[in-house]
Amino acid sequence: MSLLRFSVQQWCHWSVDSSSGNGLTEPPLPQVPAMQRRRMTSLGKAAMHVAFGIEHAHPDIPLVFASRHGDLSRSISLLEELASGTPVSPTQFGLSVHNSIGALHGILTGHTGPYTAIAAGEETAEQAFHEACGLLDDGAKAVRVVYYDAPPPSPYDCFGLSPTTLHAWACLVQQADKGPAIHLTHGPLEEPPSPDSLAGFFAGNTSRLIRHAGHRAWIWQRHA
Amino acid sequence: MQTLQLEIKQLLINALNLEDITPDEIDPQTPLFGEGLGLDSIDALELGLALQKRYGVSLSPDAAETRDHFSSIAKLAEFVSHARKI
Repeated sequence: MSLLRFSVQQWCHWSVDSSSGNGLTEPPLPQVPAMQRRRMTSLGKAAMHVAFGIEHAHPDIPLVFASRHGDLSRSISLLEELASGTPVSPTQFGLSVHNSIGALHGILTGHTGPYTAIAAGEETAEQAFHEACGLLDDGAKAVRVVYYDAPPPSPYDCFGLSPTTLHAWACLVQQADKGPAIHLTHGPLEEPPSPDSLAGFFAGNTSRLIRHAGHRAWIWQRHA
Repeated sequence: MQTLQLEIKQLLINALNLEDITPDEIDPQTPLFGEGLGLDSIDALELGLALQKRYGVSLSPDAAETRDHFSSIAKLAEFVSHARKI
């Protein structure tokens, strides 16, 4: 049983659902030049949008980019091209790696601090906070966590994997004594999962959230 | 040759996702890379692939003349008109 303690200061969220009233399938991204924006997927734009939404006096604090599936549509189109004997697109190849969105963010912002890109199945968000807390223990003043994910495209859409809509969020993570503390721990699957999402927890809808992943339950608890 | 130039401009716009640009806005003499249109090395590879698929032309990335062929739309059209197999 592990227990993480940290505080979350800023919170930025974007989803197709919350923007559907405006008819938007991706966020506008005026910070990125059109010549760079043209190569980004809707998921990449959503991730970049929320990453730009978190500010800190030290712009080179570490970044943790986390996504369960990442830009999977790129890998699928590469595999389809290979299967049909067509030469693969250099652009898709170059941007299909899991850290490409984080790397592009680094190029665009001139960020020279550490950044990492992780994927950990259903518990990707929880592992992102483990990574962030590790960086804080190593002496980072604060860490930006950027989470982004979209439903897996065809032919993987038949597996019913989460999430059901494209969404992204980002936050500023600091040591627990810097603000209201959040405790993150895991245990057996005794209690049912919460109906609310992690985005709802960070938005302040609930002070306790349970997420099931495989054989364990992750328990998020906010302390006043 | 003007028809071929227009065709290559459209191919360039589609292959490189230059959504904000129309064929009229690309001067056939304007440099494609660096200053000018502002394309980069990934674009060069992507454009080479698109030309190969569309016209069956093969381009060696190391050859000095490839740099010349890629210098503008006019040069590309001239090269394609001679080397095309499709």
